[in-house]
Amino acid sequence: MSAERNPTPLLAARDIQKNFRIKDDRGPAQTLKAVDGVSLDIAPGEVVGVVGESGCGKSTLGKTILRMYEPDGGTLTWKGEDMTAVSGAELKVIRKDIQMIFQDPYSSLNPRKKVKNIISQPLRVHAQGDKDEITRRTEEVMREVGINPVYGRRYPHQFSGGQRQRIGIARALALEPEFVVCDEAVSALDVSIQAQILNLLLDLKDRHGFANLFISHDLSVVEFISERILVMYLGRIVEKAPKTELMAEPLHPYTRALLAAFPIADPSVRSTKKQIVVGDVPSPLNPPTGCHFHPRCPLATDRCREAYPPLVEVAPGRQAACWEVSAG
Amino acid sequence: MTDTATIETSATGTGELLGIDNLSVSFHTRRGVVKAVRNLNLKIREGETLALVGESGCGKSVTAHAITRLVPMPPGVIESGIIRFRGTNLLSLPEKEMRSLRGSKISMIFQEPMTSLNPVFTVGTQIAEVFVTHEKLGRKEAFARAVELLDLVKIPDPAKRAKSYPHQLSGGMRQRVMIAMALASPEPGLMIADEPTTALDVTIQAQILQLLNELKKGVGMALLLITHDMGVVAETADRVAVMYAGRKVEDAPVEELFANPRHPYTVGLLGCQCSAPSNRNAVRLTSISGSVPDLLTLGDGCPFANRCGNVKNECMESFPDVSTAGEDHEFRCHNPITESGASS
Ligand SMILES: Nc1ncnc2c1ncn2[C@@H]1O[C@H](COP(=O)(O)OP(=O)(O)OP(=O)(O)O)[C@@H](O)[C@H]1O
Ligand SMILES: Nc1ncnc2c1ncn2[C@@H]1O[C@H](COP(=O)(O)OP(=O)(O)OP(=O)(O)O)[C@@H](O)[C@H]1O
Ligand code: SF4
Ligand code: SF4
Ligand SMILES: [Mg+2]
Ligand SMILES: [Mg+2]
Repeated sequence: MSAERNPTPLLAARDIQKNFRIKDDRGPAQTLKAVDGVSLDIAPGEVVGVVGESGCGKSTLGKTILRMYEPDGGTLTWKGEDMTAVSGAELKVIRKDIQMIFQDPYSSLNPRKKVKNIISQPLRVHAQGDKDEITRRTEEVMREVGINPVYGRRYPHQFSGGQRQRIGIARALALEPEFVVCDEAVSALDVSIQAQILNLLLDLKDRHGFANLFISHDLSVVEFISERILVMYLGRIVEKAPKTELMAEPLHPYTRALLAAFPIADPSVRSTKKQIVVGDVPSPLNPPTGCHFHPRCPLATDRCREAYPPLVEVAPGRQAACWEVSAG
Repeated sequence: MTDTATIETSATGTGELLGIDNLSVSFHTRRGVVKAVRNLNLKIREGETLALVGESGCGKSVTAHAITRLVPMPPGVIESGIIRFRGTNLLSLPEKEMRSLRGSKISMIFQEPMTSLNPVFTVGTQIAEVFVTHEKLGRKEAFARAVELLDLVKIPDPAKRAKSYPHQLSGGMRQRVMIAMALASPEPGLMIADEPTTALDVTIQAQILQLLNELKKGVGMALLLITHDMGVVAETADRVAVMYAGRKVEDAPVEELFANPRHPYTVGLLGCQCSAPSNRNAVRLTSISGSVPDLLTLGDGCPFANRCGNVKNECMESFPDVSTAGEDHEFRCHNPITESGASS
């Protein structure tokens, strides 16, 4: 499937690095490698899911590839052009095609602005036509996400959580982007509303064909929506695979642990569940030496404690960063 | 124990630990009366895990707060009902007796750990306090027990963490501190866990659920597990009660509920889970259209009527009576989903 895709990816990230300086009350500042050498390609129209536990760097990755954060290393290419170097007006042009939908439909919308102004803001920033055209497009996109344009004069607090997320989606889609990053876009919603929003995202994607990087800690959501899945652990990608293969046969021990831990909504399979990982998530400030997963890994050897395994192809279309998996 | 608090009921002998009859709780707010819980009946047997599920705002936490008598009054009002715990009506128990029950025979893990932990004491001291109060241990010994519990709930470096203040811990760690505190209770007959794992990572969640299960078996404690995650329900509950807009709409053993749901909301709730078996290779999720009605303006009819595919005229007029389907399975619906799963 992925082999048939357009060979020029829409977005290509190579060896992306993003560090944060953490300063304690006492002691010198420490460097936190939130994203540590991540590479990924996204083809036009493709949905790529990113999963991993809290703090593993999913949001930082999303923000860095959108250049909301300046990368500390690596390169980003947009349609074959280096976007790491561009700035100012040129970056603005690219940004028009890239949008982000956030987790919190409450805090990501300005409470003092009318909904129609929130949605039309990107259109005005990027000067997409005169006043009438902007109004027309705003109403069109509101209808598309299922918000009646007559409610345009209301404020965000007058809408429910699900409706607010629809408003966030309308704002992101107003400029007809080619690439959308969804960061925990449905995580704050009730399941019945979550299902509505996921279906809406899929409908909109079918109609407009934008590519999507879908970030979530919820494996079942990522599994449902994605074509390919990236699994992150402490700032790095540990496994990359097409969805079906990953779910059928996870290769990396962390991915296996994640799948085993994930609750399945079917009481009849309860007794067949496998053992789960022990131990806690280590601190990203002091990641374990060698393979970051070794303190929790049932297969760990001395080699794992010494050197970080590279992310390598272990089967057609499948990559994993694990000494044991790559040894066959 | 006062006479008014002790009630003779037929419940004794059926293994009932907690029985709620006709509980209604409302909040008298400036905007009007919010009927948060309406005519609720619920039963938890000794040693059982009952999962309470439903959409945000349907009254799960208010039910838990009513059991522990922690509903803020005002604005809260218990309009009617009885809550029996081992035959004693908790609602008429003097506050002093209730306080000693809380944290000993009934323990609770709250939904918002930050608001229920005291910011000015270290977490170790707060857990130790339970041992000091209920087991009359010395400070030092109590603190050592607190460290053991932090270890039990998988807090790394527990001796050091015991000296941290709540704000110095991550959300997941605070939640585990809450669980440790609940575990400090001497012989919990009932543990109420309000979304105990929602803020946790899935591998940690699995460990905590396993831990709760082991403890449950070990001390024979019953668990009222409040959650919105049907995966967690499927893996931990013995029975499930489904609430919608303040009403209990269905109640059944877990396997029965998943295999043979009768209420349209239950069917919708199960269908819209990404991890539901029916969504395995689906192109779209089954979703319930519309959203929850405003509890302020809710009439006497079925609260699900505005979203229900099976709605009939009578649904607008009256809330349905209890129907039963086989052993221990109850639901309230004028036009239920038929047993085969197809709607009538
Ligand atoms: N602005 C920042 N300043 C300092 N540290 C940060 C900042 N943003 C993120 N971090 C740290 O970087 C690491 C990665 O954070 P990030 O938010 O990307 O994780 P995540 O995978 O999105 O987690 P979650 O699932 O909780 O959203 C964490 O250890 C976090 O504490
Ligand atoms: N102190 C209060 N004052 C007014 N209304 C309240 C108060 N506490 C709860 N409510 C209302 O009672 C209803 C039930 O709330 P409850 O907290 O029990 O919901 P829940 O099922 O626990 O939801 P969630 O899944 O979001 O935790 C809600 O409509 C809520 O707004
Ligand atoms: S490299 Fe070693 S420690 Fe890391 S996941 Fe593989 S086997 Fe486990
Ligand atoms: S059929 Fe009627 S009573 Fe049953 S859930 Fe639907 S609206 Fe409610
Ligand atoms: Mg994040
Ligand atoms: Mg609640």
